Amino acid sequence: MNHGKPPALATWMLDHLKSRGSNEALSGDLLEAFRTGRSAGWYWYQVIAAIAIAWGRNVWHHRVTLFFAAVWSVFSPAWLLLPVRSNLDSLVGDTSHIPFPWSFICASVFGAVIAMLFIWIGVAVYSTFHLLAFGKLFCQSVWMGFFWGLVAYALAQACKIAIDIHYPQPANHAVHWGSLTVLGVIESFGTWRTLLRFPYFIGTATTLWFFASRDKPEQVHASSRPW
Amino acid sequence: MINATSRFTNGLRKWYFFASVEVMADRSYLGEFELMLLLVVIRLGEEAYGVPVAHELEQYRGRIVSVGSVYAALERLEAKGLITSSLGDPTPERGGKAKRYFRITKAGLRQVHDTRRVLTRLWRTIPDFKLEFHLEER
Repeated sequence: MNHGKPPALATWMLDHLKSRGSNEALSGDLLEAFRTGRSAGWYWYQVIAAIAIAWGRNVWHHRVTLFFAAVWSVFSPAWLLLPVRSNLDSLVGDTSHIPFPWSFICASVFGAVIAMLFIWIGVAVYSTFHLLAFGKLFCQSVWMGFFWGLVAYALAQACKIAIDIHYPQPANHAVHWGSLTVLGVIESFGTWRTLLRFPYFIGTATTLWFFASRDKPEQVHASSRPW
Repeated sequence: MINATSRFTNGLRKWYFFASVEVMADRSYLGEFELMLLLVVIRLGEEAYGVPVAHELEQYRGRIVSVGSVYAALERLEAKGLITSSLGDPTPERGGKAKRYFRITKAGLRQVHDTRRVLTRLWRTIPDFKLEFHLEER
């Protein structure tokens, strides 16, 4: 018999990081087994395995949306080319004449609007494909999709900027960028352009993850959310 | 117009890559782990919940079994209608958390019998010397 308590951090992780299925019964089972003589190492193994399995199932459940997000993000450099070509970039996006921090805020809002438009056009395209291939797509929450999609995009964009600072792109990038064709930019999978696609992939995947459900609303598990 | 639309939709369903993934997910045969679980659930009867199920599997397989994978497989079997589950009363030794009991359904029993029949027939077709030969090769 083991009268002590199981590792507190492991129990916290099990309660908060396992996303699908019978959380209560599983944590009760692990506690019961621990108290009948299982070691802390065994408890840790079970918790990590349970979290990994739950997240694996979650990703598998959303496999179609993740695949679509990956495909859709391929087009993001071409989407970014549109404001450059239509001169919208220099008219609205040029914030060099505005003092800091407003220049930063304006540039961020402009970038976020462009990104959200791209992501939600993707959501519309995905919904249409889903309707044709599987039937009607059930909507979980537009606001959750919008909010978490924006947050995920912003975080991924911050990561991209941090990478950009550490590994700067070529100085003649702007000239090069302007001379590209739409098809050329879609076909290109160089390091920088793949990095450019990354926030759009994260944003689209997160938006669809929260927005779309293939099950009817009453069949959606409350636990299918990532926490 | 409606016919043309439905023909287009059906055509799309045929070539659409994910449609094949959907069909694969609905397979009816039992995996090795699923069959073991069904047999353990039958064996344990009224006492089939996470801890004894994992314990029995560990004893027969001779290695540690993840309780999370047991639940994942049991939930898959439940979705297929091969088992049902119900919550018991919370107990203090489990930190006030309820047990989830599993019971096999008629469809589950039928599936176990079918699998056994197929496996037995297949085993009978393999002569002993062939199995020994392959074991030696390894």
